[in-house]
Order: sequence, then C-alpha cells, then structure tokens
Amino acid sequence: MRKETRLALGVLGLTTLGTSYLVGQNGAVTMALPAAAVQETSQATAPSSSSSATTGPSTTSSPSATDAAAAPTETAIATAEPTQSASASSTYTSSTVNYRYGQVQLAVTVNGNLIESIDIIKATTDGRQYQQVPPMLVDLALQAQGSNFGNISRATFTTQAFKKALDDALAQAGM
Amino acid sequence: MKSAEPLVLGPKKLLRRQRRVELLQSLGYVTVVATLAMFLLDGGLANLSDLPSWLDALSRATSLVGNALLILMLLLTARVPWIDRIVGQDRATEAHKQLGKPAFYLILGHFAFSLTSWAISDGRNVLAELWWMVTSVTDLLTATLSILLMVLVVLSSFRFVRSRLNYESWFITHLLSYAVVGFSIPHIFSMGSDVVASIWHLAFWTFLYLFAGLNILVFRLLLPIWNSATSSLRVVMVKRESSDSISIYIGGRKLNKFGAHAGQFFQVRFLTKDLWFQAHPFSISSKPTDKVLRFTIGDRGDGSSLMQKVPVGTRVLLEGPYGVFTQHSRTRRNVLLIGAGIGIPPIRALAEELAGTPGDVSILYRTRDEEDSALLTELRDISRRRGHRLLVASGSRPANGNWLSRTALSDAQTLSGHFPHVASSDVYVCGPQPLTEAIEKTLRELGVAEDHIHTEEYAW
Repeated sequence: MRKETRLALGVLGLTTLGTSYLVGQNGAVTMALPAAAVQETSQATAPSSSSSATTGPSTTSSPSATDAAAAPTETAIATAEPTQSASASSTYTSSTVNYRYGQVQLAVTVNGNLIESIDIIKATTDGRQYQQVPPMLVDLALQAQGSNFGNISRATFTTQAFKKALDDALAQAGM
Repeated sequence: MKSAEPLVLGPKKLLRRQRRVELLQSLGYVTVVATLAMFLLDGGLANLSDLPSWLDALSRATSLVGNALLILMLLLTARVPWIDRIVGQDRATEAHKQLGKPAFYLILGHFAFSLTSWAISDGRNVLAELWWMVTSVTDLLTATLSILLMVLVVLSSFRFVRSRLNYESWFITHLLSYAVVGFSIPHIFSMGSDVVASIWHLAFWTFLYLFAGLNILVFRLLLPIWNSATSSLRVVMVKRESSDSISIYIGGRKLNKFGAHAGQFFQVRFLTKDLWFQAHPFSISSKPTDKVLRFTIGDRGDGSSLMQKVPVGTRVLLEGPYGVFTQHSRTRRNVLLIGAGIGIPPIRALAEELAGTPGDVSILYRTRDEEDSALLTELRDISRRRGHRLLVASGSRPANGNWLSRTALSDAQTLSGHFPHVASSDVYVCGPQPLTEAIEKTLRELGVAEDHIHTEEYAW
C-alpha cells in the first residue's frame, strides 16, 4: 500500500472512531444497570452477556436504583399507563415465559395497530436492582411499538424473556 | 502468436493494479473500523463505572474486532477469484497468516473478559462460573467448544508443530476452523447485543457472515465440482520429463471455461481411493487449450511417485486457476523469465503465451544438470521460434554462495551482463524458496522495483 493511501486510511479511521466515541459518550442512551448495586444482594445476580445499550433515538430511562423496596423474588408491578381510548381497545394476555430467573407474563392492550399499554402481570427478577428492569422494558416496548429494541445492558436474560412474552401477546392480537 | 486479449502495458496499468490491491486492503480495514465505530456509537465506552462493566466493554470490543478478523481470514483462504485475481493466493495466504494471531488473542480476550466479568457479578469463582455458563446458558456450550477448537487449530499452525505434521493432518485440523466459526455463530446472534442491538447491526453482521459463507460455498466447493463434472476431466497421459519430473496431461471438454492463463496453477485432486482427499498445487506447463491442460511436477519416481498411482483414465477434480504470475501482472515490454529447477513449468508456459516481438522476452533456466532438465527441449524450440533469448545456467550452486556467478563477479554483475535490460524489465521468478529469495535480492540490487518482480509460491 502506498504511503499516501495508508495515511488517508489512518486519518479516516481515527476520525471515524473519535467521532463515534464522542457521539457514543453523549448521544447514545445506555440503560446499563448501576453496577455498584449488583454486589448488594445475597443472591447471585443476573450476569449479563456482553450487551449493549439500544441505539433507539430517544430512550431516556433513568438507570438510578432508587427503588427502596426490599428484595422480593417476585414482583407484580402495574404500569401507570391508563387505557386512554375507550373505543376498540382489547387486551391480550401472554403465556407465561419461563426463564433463568423466573417467569414473565404480560397483558398487552392493543387498539388497532397501536400498542396502548403493557401491564406486567408477573415479572420475576433476581435481586433488588433488577426490579427497575421490567418497567424500563415496558417503556422501550411502547416506544418501539413492539419487541424490536435493544437489550438492556446486564439484563439480557430478562430482556429476552420480556420480548418473548410481548411477542406472544402481540401474536394473539394478530400483530 | 495470436493472443486472446490485446496486450496492455505501461505505468497506468501498474497504477490500476496498485489501486485494486489498495481497494481490497481498504475493504478489510473499513470492515474492522466499522465494527469498532458501531460499538462506540452504541455507547460501548459510556457508563463504565466498575470493573465488571469495564470487562464487559472489553469483551464486546474484542469479540467484535476478533470476529471481523475471523471473517476476513476465512475469505482470504476461500480462494475466491476476485481476491486471487488482485493479489494472488500467496499474498492472500500471507495476509491470512498475519491476521491469525491478532484474531486468536482477541477472541481469547473476549472469552477471558466476559468470564471474569460474569464471575465478579455473580460472586462465584471463575471455574464455577464457567461451569454454570456452559451448563445453563443457551448457546454458551457451543461457544466454549468453538474456542477450544480454535486453540487446537492455532496450535497446529505454530511453526514447530506444523513442521511435524504432514499436509493432510494439518489441513484436516485447519478445516476445523469452519467449525470454530460455525459454533460461535449461535451465541453471537442470540446474546451478542452489539449484533442484535438494532436492525443495522443485525444487517451488517448477517451480511458479513452470509457473504463469507456464500463465497466459500460457491468458489471453494460448488464451482470446482460443477466445472470439473461438466468437463469430465480425466488423466489422458503421464510422461516422464526428467529423472525428477513428470508431466500429467488432463483432458476434457470446454476447458476454456476455466479461463486459465500461463503462469497459473490449479489445485488438482485425483479421484482415486487413496488420493481424492489430497489437493496438489500444480502449475500449468504449457499454454492452456480447450481440450488439454498440461501440468509438470516434481516426481522422483520413488514410492511417492504419482506416475504409478495415477493411471490414464483417472478422474480429476480441478480447483482454480489461481495466481497472478501471469501476463496480467506485466507492465513493461521487456520481460525476463527466471526458472530454477522444478520452478520451470510456469516459466515454460509463459514463454509460450507472453505477447512480444523477438527480443522482448528473455529466459534464464537455472538447472543442476543440462542433460536432465525438464522441458528444456521445449524451451529451446519456443525460443527459436519466437526469438526469445534463452540462457541455460547449469551445475550445482557455486561454492562462493552465489546462485549464478562462478567468477569473481557478483550475481548482479553477471546477471546484468547477460541481460542488459533487466533493470527495465518485468522479471518473473519461480523456483525453490531459498533460491527465489537469493534471486530477488540480486534483482533489487540491480534496481528492479518490487512492483516488477513477480514470484508465486505454492502457499498453504
């Protein structure tokens, strides 16, 4: 390779990587769990695969672990997402998805092609700091209007189980 | 002589050739940079708060770059024509070897980083964590198997191991590389969230894997089988050329479809019970025709002799043609062909095929014994007919360490004495490796630029 070409490629590569880094630090939204919280529980916590934040443009869930509830192994959290349209909404209940850390079951309210709300019937997580994961997943799914969103870093298994349940409910809805 | 294509020479051709090489190199480079850029864009280095998250990021980055390199390595040895036509098999193999070490260390790093990160997060020791990963996490069993196989493949490629292995054992071990990649794919697409993070990531990686896979499938497997089958290739004649060489004539129908040129080689498989799994890199030793291809090879007539093992009528599978040791690499009018020992077959074919008027092409045949030299009679005939200058330098290597000169003159002085135009020629060199290197050194001393020295090794 000629010297000029090598130089041009080098500069191009470094510029690309530099820009990507800056954009990644500022613009990209990560939903990584605060790692400090991971060590608190006596239970083994969910290890994550090498998982990344989604590139979704406007996802802004706060990752702070402010939930002070004691660590239950099973939580039932209902999202404050009231059904707004009374017209033709119907709710579909997913089958229960078993996964590494328990079970996920969702109730999805659909109006036409719009996912109006997602209620968590059952979402077992493993340890306190993971309680925030299901509601974050609900937000992501509503924004993506489906399961086409990235994994939550360090909560890959829960993400996958959630998506499976969601897809199941959506399939019932014929979406 | 009629030539199928018009002869193009000159510095512009050289520049075009360089650009194609650079384009190819850039494609590989861009692939690697793109994987890293996507990782960074994704916030790969954002929110790194503690050791596990750092290890996670490292694990992601190493796996991405490592896998990109693995895919490039696969392509480089898939013998795909669009790579071969630009750089040739030997340089492609060279690049493959250069990428081997970084790819290996990166993938090992990925394994170590993710394992440690998980172990810390789970508060288990590394072994317990590994056991848990392998037994409980979907797709990590195959991934672990993949890395174990990779260690095996790499071990077999270390020089001191490889020199102790015969080609077949080494080759079969190396075939495991496909298993390495194959076993790693499930966990990449099910857990690698840099891959499933968005439709773009998914598309990018799917494309890379499909592209490499299809190239291998088509060019390494289907096309050779299809071409060979439709040509019904058979050995039509085996002839002794010298005490240590034979010619094998392979006949069939419509051989022009292979598009072979003088100076190229094929991987030849003889479809007999004992030989089908061996692919021999054989050079074409005469201008290819539509009905017959002739290969001349080293063969001492001892126990390893193909002459006894390959009777006339043996079915043949051809993979190829490969190599840029051809007229396509030529950019100058003057050509010097140097063949040494059993390196003479492609030189003999080039002497026949290279376009030129009398005086354009010169040939140096370095041989141990003029009375027992393969293809020498043919070379003399061709040279007389076409007006090539032919010099036969015979005898064993001079005691003074030179490869050519037996006098006080240096090799460079002797060579330029015989071939005054050498510095302004394209020089094609084919011979045993140490000799080829000595010849290249002499050529550089004479001021022949790298771009005008053409060599081809049978690389494996």
